[in-house]
Amino acid sequence: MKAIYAKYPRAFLLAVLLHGVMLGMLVVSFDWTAKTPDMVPPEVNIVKATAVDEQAVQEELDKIKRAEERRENRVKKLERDADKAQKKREREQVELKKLEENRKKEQAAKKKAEQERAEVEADRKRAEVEAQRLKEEAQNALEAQQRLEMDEQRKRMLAEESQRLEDQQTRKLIAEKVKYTALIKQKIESKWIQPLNAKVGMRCTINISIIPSGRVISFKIVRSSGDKLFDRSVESAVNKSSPLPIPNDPRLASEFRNIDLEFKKE
Amino acid sequence: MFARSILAVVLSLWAINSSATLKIEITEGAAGAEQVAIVPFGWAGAAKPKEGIASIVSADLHRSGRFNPVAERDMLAKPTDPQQINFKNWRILEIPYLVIGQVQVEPNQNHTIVVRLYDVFRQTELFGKKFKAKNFQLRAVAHQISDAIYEELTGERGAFSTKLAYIKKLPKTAKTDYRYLLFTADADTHNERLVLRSKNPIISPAWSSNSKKLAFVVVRNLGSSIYIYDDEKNESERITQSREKFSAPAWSPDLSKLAVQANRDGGSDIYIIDLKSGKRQRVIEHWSIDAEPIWSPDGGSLIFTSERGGSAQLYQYYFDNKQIRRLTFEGRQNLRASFSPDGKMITFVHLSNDRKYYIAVMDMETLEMRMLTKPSHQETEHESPSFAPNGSMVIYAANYQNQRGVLAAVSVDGGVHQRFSNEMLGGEVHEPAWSSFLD
Repeated sequence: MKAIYAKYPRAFLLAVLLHGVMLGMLVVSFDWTAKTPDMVPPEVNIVKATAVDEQAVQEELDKIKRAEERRENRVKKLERDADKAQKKREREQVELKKLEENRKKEQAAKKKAEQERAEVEADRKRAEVEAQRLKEEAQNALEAQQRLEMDEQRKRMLAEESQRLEDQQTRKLIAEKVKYTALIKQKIESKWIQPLNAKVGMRCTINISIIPSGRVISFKIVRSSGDKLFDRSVESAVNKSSPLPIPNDPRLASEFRNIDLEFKKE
Repeated sequence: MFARSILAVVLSLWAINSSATLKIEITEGAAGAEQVAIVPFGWAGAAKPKEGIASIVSADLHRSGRFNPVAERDMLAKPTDPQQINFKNWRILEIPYLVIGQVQVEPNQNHTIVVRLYDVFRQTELFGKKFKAKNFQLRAVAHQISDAIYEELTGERGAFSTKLAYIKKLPKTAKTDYRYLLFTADADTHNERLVLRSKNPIISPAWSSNSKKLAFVVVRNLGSSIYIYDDEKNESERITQSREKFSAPAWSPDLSKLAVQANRDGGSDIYIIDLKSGKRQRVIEHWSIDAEPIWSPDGGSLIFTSERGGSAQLYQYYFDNKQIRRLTFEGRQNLRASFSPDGKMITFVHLSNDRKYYIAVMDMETLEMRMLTKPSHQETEHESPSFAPNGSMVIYAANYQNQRGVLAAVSVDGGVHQRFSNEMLGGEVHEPAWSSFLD
């Protein structure tokens, strides 16, 4: 009520007024009508009145009638006005309702659009976040890898360094051993004549003894190939290869005193 | 800390390694033949002959494919006496084996030959041998020396002192009508001895297992007949008549019988001829062709070529249960089988699906077939393979370049191939047959 009043004060006041008038009219007319039947008009008065002046009475009656009519007219007008006002109000309310609905619809549409936008935005954001996350992950992995590699390298370097520092000699010895093993292999292979009848898979192991000059002073076939000519080709290769290249380092020399050579036809 | 542990591992590996003997694998090497120096023998009491013993021995060892004899011009010294040997002369040339010898000729032409084989690197004598021979026996002595060296160095008996038999076919332009010649010869094709010359084709020479007799066939218009040549008596004897049309003789191991092929219209069968009684007995018959029987060294079976399956293939017939089994299935044809002396292998001619000839061997236990030769545009039409008595080589005839009937040999492993010069033999050579050991 208050809200309506606040919003449409004139209409409201009009409506109140109209209602008041109508209420008043109801009361007056009731009074009027109610009193009339109850009244027992004194005949005298009537006679008198008539007697007084019929024309005046008539005039009075007309007057009353006119007043009545005016009033009725007024009432009717008021009613019409009220009706109009009511209708207007109703129209206005319909309008209002419509407006409200439109507004609501708009609002809903707006809300929906907003929602959609928000969702799209959210999706985009999520994708962005995901992308970012992946990127970061990749980056992290890369960094981890690099860290690992660096660690490894550091460790390697550390190990190498430490090895260098702690036992340079050992490494040198290993390198020497590998080198001389290869040299011996190379020399003997360059001297070995495989018999043409040697079958693939034939093998003969010969143990050789070497003096510090590299000269092979003795050998012994520890595993025969079963073929005399093959075994002889092995002995012959050893003989032709003497002296063999052997390392000077006394710590290695002992290893190269006695070697097993496995000759294999592949 | 980390570095320390690595070091510890390295050191422990090192320690483990050094506790064991260092082992080196040798896998590369030039496939070839070992050098052996056969120094020309010293002669005393007579002039040195043109072809010395040393060169015969060198040629023998070279032909085996196992050795590479050093050329005389490459020798730094030519010792003939043990005192003259300076091993350094041979060591620096990386020649591991040295042979020296001396021939003492007495006024009565008796030759005493002393030969020594040395291991150059060990500076030791591997053997010293003495031979006595007449002038004409010097080649035989040389082959015996080859056999001794070969056996000492390879552990396998040498087959140089053995014989070949082959048929030589002279060209039509030859000034003689006798175009077919049957020879026996030393294993190096020297010392050829004519067995028979004929206007008619001579085929199928077959040595007896004691290498003293040679069966062969002469083909005439009426038919073929079998002869047996006695190498000691130098006589040939005809044992079947032409009308019998026997051919392709094979000796039984006990020399008492011959397995032969008997030709008839449209085919042939396998017969056994008892040499004492002369009795003929048909043992294998079929409407198609059964041919080229050979006797297994244990005497228990025959292998023959038959077309009973539609194409020429090898079959084996067992005397005890008279069963026949087929041996070959691959290729268009497999024929002309010959047993190895130990009976463990056969060699034969294989005609492949693309019509190329191969010399093949088959393991008699697994029946696995292996090709020894590869046909090339140079060497074609391989025929008549025959094992060396030590089983190390197979001799055969082939067309080589533009020449027909060239004698060739291949080691059983297929690694060594040799060809005999045709100029030296003076004609096409066919159907070589290698004898057994002579003793």
